[in-house]
Amino acid sequence: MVEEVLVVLKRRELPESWTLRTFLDTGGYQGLRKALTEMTPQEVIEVVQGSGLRGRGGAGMGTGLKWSLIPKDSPKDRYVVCNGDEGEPGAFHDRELMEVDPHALIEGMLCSAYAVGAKHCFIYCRGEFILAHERLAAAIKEAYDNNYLGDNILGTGFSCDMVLHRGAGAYICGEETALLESLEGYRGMPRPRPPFPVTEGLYASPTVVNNVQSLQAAGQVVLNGADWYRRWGTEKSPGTLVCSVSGAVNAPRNVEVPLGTTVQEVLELCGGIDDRGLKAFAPGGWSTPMLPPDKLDATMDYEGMIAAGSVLGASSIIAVPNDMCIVRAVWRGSKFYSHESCGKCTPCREGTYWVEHILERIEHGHGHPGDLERLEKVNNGMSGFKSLCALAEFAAGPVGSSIIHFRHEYEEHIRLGACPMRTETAIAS
Amino acid sequence: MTDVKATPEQSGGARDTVAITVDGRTIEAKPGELLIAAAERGGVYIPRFCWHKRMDPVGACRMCLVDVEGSPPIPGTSQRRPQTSCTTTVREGMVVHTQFSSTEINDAQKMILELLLINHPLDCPICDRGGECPLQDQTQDYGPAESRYTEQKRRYEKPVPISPLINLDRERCILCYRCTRFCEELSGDVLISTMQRGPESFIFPFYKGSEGNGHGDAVRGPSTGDINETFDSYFSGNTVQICPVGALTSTEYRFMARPWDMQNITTTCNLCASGCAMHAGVRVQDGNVARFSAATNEDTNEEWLCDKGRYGNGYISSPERLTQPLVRRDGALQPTTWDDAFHELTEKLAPVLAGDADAGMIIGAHLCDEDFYVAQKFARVALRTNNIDHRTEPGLAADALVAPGVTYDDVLNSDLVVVVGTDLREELPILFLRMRIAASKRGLPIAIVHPREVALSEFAKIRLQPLPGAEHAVASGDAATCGLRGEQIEELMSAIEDAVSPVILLGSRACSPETIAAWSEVATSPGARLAWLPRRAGTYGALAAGAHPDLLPGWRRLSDDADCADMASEWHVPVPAKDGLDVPAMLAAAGDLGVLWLVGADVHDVPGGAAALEKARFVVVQDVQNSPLLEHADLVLPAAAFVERDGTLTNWEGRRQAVVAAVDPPGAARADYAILSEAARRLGRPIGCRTHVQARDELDVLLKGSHPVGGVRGGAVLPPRSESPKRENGLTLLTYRLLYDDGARVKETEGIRELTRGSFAELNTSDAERLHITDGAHVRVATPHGAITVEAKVSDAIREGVVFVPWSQWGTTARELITWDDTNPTVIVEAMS
Repeated sequence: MVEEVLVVLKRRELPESWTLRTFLDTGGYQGLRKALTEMTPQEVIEVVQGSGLRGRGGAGMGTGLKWSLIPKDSPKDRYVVCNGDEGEPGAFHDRELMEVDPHALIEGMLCSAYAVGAKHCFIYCRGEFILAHERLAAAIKEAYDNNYLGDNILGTGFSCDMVLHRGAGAYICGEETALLESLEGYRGMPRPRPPFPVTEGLYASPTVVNNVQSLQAAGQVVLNGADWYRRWGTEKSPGTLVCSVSGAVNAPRNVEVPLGTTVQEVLELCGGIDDRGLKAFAPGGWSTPMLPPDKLDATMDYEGMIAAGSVLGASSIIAVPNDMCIVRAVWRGSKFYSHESCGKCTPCREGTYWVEHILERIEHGHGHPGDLERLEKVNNGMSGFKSLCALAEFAAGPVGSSIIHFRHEYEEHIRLGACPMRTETAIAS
Repeated sequence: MTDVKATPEQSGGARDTVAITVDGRTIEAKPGELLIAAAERGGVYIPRFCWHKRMDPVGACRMCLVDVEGSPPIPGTSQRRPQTSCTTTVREGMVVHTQFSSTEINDAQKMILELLLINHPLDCPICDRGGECPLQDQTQDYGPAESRYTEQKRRYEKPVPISPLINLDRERCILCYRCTRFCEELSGDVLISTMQRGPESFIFPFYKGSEGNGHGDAVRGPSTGDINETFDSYFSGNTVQICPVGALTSTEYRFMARPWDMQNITTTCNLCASGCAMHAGVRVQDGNVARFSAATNEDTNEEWLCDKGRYGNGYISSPERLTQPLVRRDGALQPTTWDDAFHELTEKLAPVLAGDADAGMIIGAHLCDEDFYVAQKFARVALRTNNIDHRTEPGLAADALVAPGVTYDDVLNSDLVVVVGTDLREELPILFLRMRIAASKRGLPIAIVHPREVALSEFAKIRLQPLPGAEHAVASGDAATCGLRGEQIEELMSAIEDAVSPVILLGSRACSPETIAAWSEVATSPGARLAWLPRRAGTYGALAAGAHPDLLPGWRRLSDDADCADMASEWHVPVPAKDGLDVPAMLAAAGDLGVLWLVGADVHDVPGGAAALEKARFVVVQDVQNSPLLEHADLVLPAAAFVERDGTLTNWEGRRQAVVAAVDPPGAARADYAILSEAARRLGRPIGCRTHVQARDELDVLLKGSHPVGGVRGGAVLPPRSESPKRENGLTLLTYRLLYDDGARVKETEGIRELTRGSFAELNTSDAERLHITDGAHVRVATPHGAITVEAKVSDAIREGVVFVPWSQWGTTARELITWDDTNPTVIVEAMS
């Protein structure tokens, strides 16, 4: 049986893990001290790059690579922004990471700020995360009071400020350019890319936007070195990964495992599949294409999930129970994506609306012959990277994959003129 | 395939172009250019809705998708991710496939169109945009023939009048954000915005009340009654013109015509001196002008119009139009024929023709160059008088004339524009708009010298608020007189000195000879330019054509014997020797004049005008429409409006542009120059100029090689102030016209009438406190010349010691408060009990 490897979650069991005292007692801010006193900014970038740490927000871009893309010669200020607007259905690891170890996030962000020459950091925390917000606010205050933030940090001459910003409840603000728009005070709507945030991000200035987990891991990489981090995971996906697990398992929770661990092993760490049995699972949050139980041996890493026909996404496994109607689950999910579409660009705004209404009809017994083909065509038409951001792809993922794996359930709905399962069990929305 | 060179100037020089290949065709693009624009110049049109070349790209509609070689792949396929050509910058060697050469792109665009149409009502048969609708056109070209959509469409109340001029139909909207971007990026009037989110999002003014996310058949969202603030922008009509669907339409044009039934005649707007190109859309079935829209002229208005120009010509089809001559018989005006009218004229003008009485002629400053030329020739040759003037506004003694040659480009490319004594948004809205765009998009440096904070002030790096009427003292550094601190003036002067190509723009309240002389001294550095900005469309032309008591055509002067001899040889009659009267002098002498002839001149609205009309012996009113002037008229001659005749207009730059007859004049109305030419013939003193071409040709010869130069002598010059305008125990009055006012023509458009503000007296917070006046209170505003009652507007946007009253709003006019000699009198403001 595989065991958990606690790296970013290492303080999870400690009493008052979120306080500066606990943090310092367990090696906290040593990475920052090392960076500021022993390393050049370039060395910090190199060690993070050498560790192979990849962004945990979904796209999987090398964290060190992103830092290295910040132009060295820009006359503008640079910024480090933490994307703490975790909103993907099924994902809840960033919340725990911010609640359990806020100082580790501050440390990681300061390492990043030092590496790229930023003097201002912003944490964009999801509005509903009340506890995380409270603990982050307290931690930032503690850090200021103890010279881990502000002017002349630890007497090294390095100065940096940090602002905690609370989101207002829009899923789209988890998309990095929409997050930056929102942070600037505008409607949270994605911007065209390029320019990418590394060249024109916050206030049109070079900006690092990293996920909570990536930044926390980076802080430890700076302290312990690249090889230490590469002890876990695979060649192309080194390190550890926090997976949120929900649905048809006995003990839903966050588990931290080396990348490359199989889905089966992750589910076992959560007490195994419950009595209802497993019909399907989404490996990276509801937006990632769902897979049937015969893919349980797929590995939780970037390459493994693509090979299995899905993506790692937000590494959040939703285990769909056998007694759940797939059409209903997909329809409920589509309502979410339609509601959360920002409306800026055509394919997503109109496509999610159309798909939701077809699914609603089928689930409620008003499907017609031809609806399934229409649904497929519309779902393919709205996706395919025609949109400004990935939300349309997210919305299309569960629809397309469920038609591949559970076509018979759709056909039965249309043939019967009713939902054959009549279940009120709802997940993912 | 042919290789297309973008433009000649781009082909020369090393690496100042970028070679790209679009559908196999090589195109030389500019570095940094957007792919969609480069492709279009190279002959490949990529369809689009949201992209507009004068606004920043948003990449929202996704219609302009193309396939760019080297783009990342779509996972699990061999295809590349499509790119929006409106957000993609050209790169050397870029290879692009558009809908013409890529099936995937063609399919993608088809899908985008199908998605855009699922919630579109397809009510094209009753949509004003039908026939000139980009959504309709591009669906025709690239869209699917049929929709697969069978669900309920979104429903909204339609149409919602979001202002008296603009209707909004949210069902038709495809959310391209052109209108909101126009308001945010260009005009600055952020009065409409995107509301709600996702499929529920819609464009609307700010509203109150329920949000109404209805489902199914329910009509959603806020309705007319929920609007908090109307879309009251001087530039709102532009959003209608750039809307790629029929979501925004004009109330004035609603159901008036179909585009295919209209012929667009390009002409020039005559409602201010901006000189905007416009289309008169003539409905061919009835020969009426159904609407005006902006035409493109990159040198002047780009493709914008203000709403006054677009909608303010309602008078043309008004029932108040004069369609036949009227003669006063037995105390009442009777319809008559031209023959009879000219007969009457000959009879009544006998004393003038005999030399026993002088004539006086006042001509409106919105008319064409040819009218001014023919009018002054009529006055000087037929009526033998120099009593001809166009300056019906106090303060407009433009006698120290400024050499022309400053253009829009000079202003927009300057490194410091100093705007003195004008509120450009109210007076020359398109010059304002272009300066605002330049300031907000690329930081055009601006300095504002004006007693109030004006619409450009937010961009000004230097703002001086002198006392009104003391603009000359700013230039001469007399801080005490203009009520400023010395270092404020020094800051401005050193900025002008440091600038490489400063442009000083003097507005219509900075045009006294002393003001122009003082600012000319400032603009002496090499590279510095000075221009005077007339407000009205024809002012420049009137001066150039000699519709001025001291000026002869081609900027010749009555005081110059050689100039007079020139004209005498041209006209074969001597120029009258006696000095001419200007407008106030003519009004004062009205009782002695043999005739007071008003050519499109609303003297009712000038100080002393009403009294003059009372005592005048014989009044000829030559105008387009009925007005209070007719009460005093003895003879009324119906004139053609500017869309009913040909001619030229000279704008503030000195740019002469064509006014083109789009429709016939109503009834017996005729062009002003033609009426005067015929009158001269009937009076036995023919002046030629039977057609506008003849008049233009004569004027062209006289204008050749001539240019205005400073310093006309004579009676029309306002006396230099002998005292400081700063009064010990009172406030100083400032008055000027707002864009929407009681102007005889503009008030004929109902929508504009509704948007016209009531009169008010604006005063500074500290003055208001001292006088115990609260915002919105009724106050009595009194000067030594008269008093009016208006609402107080307490504001920090006006300097202390100054009270602003707009010239004429809803019947309340500041002309009661001033005289020709005292345009900035001391004023007392008291709260009404």
